[in-house]
Amino acid sequence: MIIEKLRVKGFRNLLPSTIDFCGGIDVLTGENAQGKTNILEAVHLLSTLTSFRTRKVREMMGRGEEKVILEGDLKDRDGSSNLRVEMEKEGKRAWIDGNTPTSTAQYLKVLPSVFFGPGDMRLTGGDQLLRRRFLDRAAFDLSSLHFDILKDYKRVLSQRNSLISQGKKDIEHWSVTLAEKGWKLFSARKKALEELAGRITTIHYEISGGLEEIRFILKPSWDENCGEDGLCKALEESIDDDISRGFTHHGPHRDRLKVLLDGRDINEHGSQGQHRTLALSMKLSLLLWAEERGADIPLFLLDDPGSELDERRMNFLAEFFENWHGQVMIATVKSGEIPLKGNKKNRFHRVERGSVNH
Amino acid sequence: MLARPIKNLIRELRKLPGVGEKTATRLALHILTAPPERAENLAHALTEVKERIVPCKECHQLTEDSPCAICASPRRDRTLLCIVEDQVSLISIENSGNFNGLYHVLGGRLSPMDGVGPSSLNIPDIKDRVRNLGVREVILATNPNVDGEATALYIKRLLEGTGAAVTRIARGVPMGGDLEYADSLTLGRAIDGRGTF
Repeated sequence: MIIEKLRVKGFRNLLPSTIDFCGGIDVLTGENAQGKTNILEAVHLLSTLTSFRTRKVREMMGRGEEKVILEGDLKDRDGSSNLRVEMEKEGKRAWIDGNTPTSTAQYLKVLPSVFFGPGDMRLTGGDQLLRRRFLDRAAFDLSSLHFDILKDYKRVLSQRNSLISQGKKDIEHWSVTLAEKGWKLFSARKKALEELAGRITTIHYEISGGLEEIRFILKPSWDENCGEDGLCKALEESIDDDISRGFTHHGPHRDRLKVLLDGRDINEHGSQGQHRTLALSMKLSLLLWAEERGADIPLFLLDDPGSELDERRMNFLAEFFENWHGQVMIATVKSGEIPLKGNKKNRFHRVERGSVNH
Repeated sequence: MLARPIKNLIRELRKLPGVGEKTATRLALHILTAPPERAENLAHALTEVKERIVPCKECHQLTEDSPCAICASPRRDRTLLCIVEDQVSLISIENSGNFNGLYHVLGGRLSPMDGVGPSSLNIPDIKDRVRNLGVREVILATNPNVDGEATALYIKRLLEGTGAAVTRIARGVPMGGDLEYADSLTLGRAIDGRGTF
């Protein structure tokens, strides 16, 4: 699916308007604080129902606004579709072609997207939460059931933590349920990582030309070889410790993804450049993977590449985008920052004070 | 714009599950324009249900007479006990016509986050009931979500040593529907829980 039109109302500084995208490479240019990233954020919301900046709806509402309306007209070879999201203080509502989706997972499948922005440097910089989210995203690509597994796991974890905070020890029924969901969650993340690792290495090599050996190790907080039973045992054995520390400290919410460059932890030994290249490779691998397995090609949203990527990486990206048949949206201060050769349909949009000039 | 009594009625109707502003307004206007006896019958039914309905002292389902008709019936298999979360589940299973045992209504499911523990539900008397009735099989029919699963596990453990076999209702694809119409979660679970054919 590609998004052809975006209608926005009440969102941050954007004026009520309809933005027409070319479907190839759409470049949003303009000075800082004009609304470029807000447009990417609106598209991201329409695609994933989440923002890459905040979880607070209030922050996304324009000044004096009570309601945000985002609507996208989508198209692919088989036909057209429409997504709509409305946000009020009380929460969000979403529609596919005017109908309420049967599940969030069903909605998320319509317009998949991958976002890369300045904050993603933390992906390789030791932010384990971001790394787990990356793996969850990949696991969701493998099976939409992953969304429900993750939701179930989070709920059981909250239930168990609630009992732990009350000092209750008779919680085996929650430990067993947590271990069952936890093992599924971990296994799905591991499978997704196995699929992606090789592709990340390939892209990393293409960007840097370096021959560093990259290894990914997903380290669980219990003995992986003992499977679900092992997690259950670890949970039961650590109840006293959990109670004294006030939280459950075994389970995939504590999974650690280690990245080794030539056998050394990138967190301790990686240069800024290596971090940037690897973080970008990880995100781009999701695009390649979707293409290779014949899935819907995600929309790629790239925010402010100039702040993090040097000329060499910009050249790589320009070539990558022009050879790739998915839709790309780039928010950048300078229109010439990404050296596009014009091999693929592109359109530049000038963003000024919340309004877009095509 | 609307008179105060109508607004009151709309506000009260809105408190019902699944009723929003529009439905509440439509219902209120319907009641208002219907013959007076219909509104009186509704008011009477509402008062009566609150006055006369009590939980069954055996199974805790809502009934006019305690013990309820199911618990009092000599035709029900008293060695078979089905544990459900609420009255709605009981009605659904009863409507299936496939179950001829007794019920035990929990009145909810475990959820520590919401302050619901075993003592807030009709759990403490299950063990005595199983022993007193000489139950041979307990069917755990709590809902197939994580809280329902944990509740089922808790009861399973509670019943250890009573000699009753503990079973769990099956999950899978509904009968009479094509696979293509089953949602992916149901289908995924059905594949996870597949059996030998």
